[in-house]
Amino acid sequence: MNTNQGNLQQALMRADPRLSRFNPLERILHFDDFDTGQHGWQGYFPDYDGWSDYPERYQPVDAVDQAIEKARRDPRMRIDRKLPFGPRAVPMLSSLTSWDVGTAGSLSGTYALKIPTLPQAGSKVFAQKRLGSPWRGKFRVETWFCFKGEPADFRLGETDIRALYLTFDVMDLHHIREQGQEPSRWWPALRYHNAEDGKLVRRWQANVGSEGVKDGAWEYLEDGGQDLGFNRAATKYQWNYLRFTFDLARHEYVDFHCHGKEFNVHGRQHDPHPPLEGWRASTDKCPGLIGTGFGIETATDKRCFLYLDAVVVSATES
Amino acid sequence: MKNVHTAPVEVLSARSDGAFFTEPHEAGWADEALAMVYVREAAGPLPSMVLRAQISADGARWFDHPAAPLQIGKTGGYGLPLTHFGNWLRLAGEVSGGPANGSPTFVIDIYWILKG
Repeated sequence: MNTNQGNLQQALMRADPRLSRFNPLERILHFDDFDTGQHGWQGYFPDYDGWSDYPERYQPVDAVDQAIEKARRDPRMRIDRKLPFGPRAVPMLSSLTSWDVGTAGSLSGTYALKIPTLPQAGSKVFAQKRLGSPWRGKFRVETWFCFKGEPADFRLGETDIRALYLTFDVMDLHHIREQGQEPSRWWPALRYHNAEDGKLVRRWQANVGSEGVKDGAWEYLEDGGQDLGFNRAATKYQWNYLRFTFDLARHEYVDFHCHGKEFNVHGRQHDPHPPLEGWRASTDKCPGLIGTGFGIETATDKRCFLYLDAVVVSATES
Repeated sequence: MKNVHTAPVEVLSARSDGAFFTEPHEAGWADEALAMVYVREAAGPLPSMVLRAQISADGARWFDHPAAPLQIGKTGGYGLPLTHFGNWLRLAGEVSGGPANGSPTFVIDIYWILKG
């Protein structure tokens, strides 16, 4: 894109009240305004099988009948590892309505996407969308968000929220083999560690592990400390802006901005330790995947909620 | 064109005798809500489940919607259509007549199908 085109595009976006609060890259892949629908942000359901005929299947992925049996009968299973059988907390369109003020509405309308946890310590719930960028340039996600504990007990609930998540499962396009490169998989992923054991932590982390896209292990960013806007009552919603960019060809973080602070992540890579192996390292069946997940985890037996006002996903061609 | 959304609120859920509630769901954008219930398995001498729709102004204080409850006794599909429910929705279930050893009386899937 030449400079004139860039300036014109920027001027047009700044004049559009819907887009003026975002900074998308040159191509907008999707603009999800939750006043017009849920835009395909769905709950996360882990891989399950039924592929007994699939010779290379990753063994820890159970056949669905095994998974049902385990989820029902194995009390030692980590709650966030169980296939979510039983009661489910799923993303929904919320009007942010409570006993005291009634409907607060979203930042720019009536509805936001709400991601709720179950009322069970450790419950971690995601809203997911999977796309493939047709280009191998930069990829950017932006949103305005707020987070709250359930206000039914009239308590502030700030320390009930263990963490917020923005995770990506990224796999290369397969035609790079024709250029002599081997496709690989990596997980640019950020976690806002909000609280632990009843105390505020409030530091951003990045995924450095191979436990899972959403499971770390996590490393604190050196400059990761940040007091996000939470506000002083359980039903006062304060919105925060977030922008995260990574490079699909270089497998590197480009930038991360949240709530007025630019974090030093440029050039960061996800080099999973221990390395991903076998099926988990493979890009088979998912070439070009960019699986985005927004999530929240509760630290106590109380529902917690992550609200997104809108999501803009954009990319560059190179 | 209308929006439609299917929300899975119970999947392969094993329910023994006793009371339960589905997770609260906000559906203020929808003109109609249809609870679809699939009973996969039923066990015990006289398996019975009564499912009531409940409504709330704030997601915390719940009471029954005027719609007649679903009476469920065997495997199959059941539908509970609702209008004029406001914003917050959940289902209240009362299960009885299951196996004496406390193993599940029913294995069910429940979906909200919202349209508006």
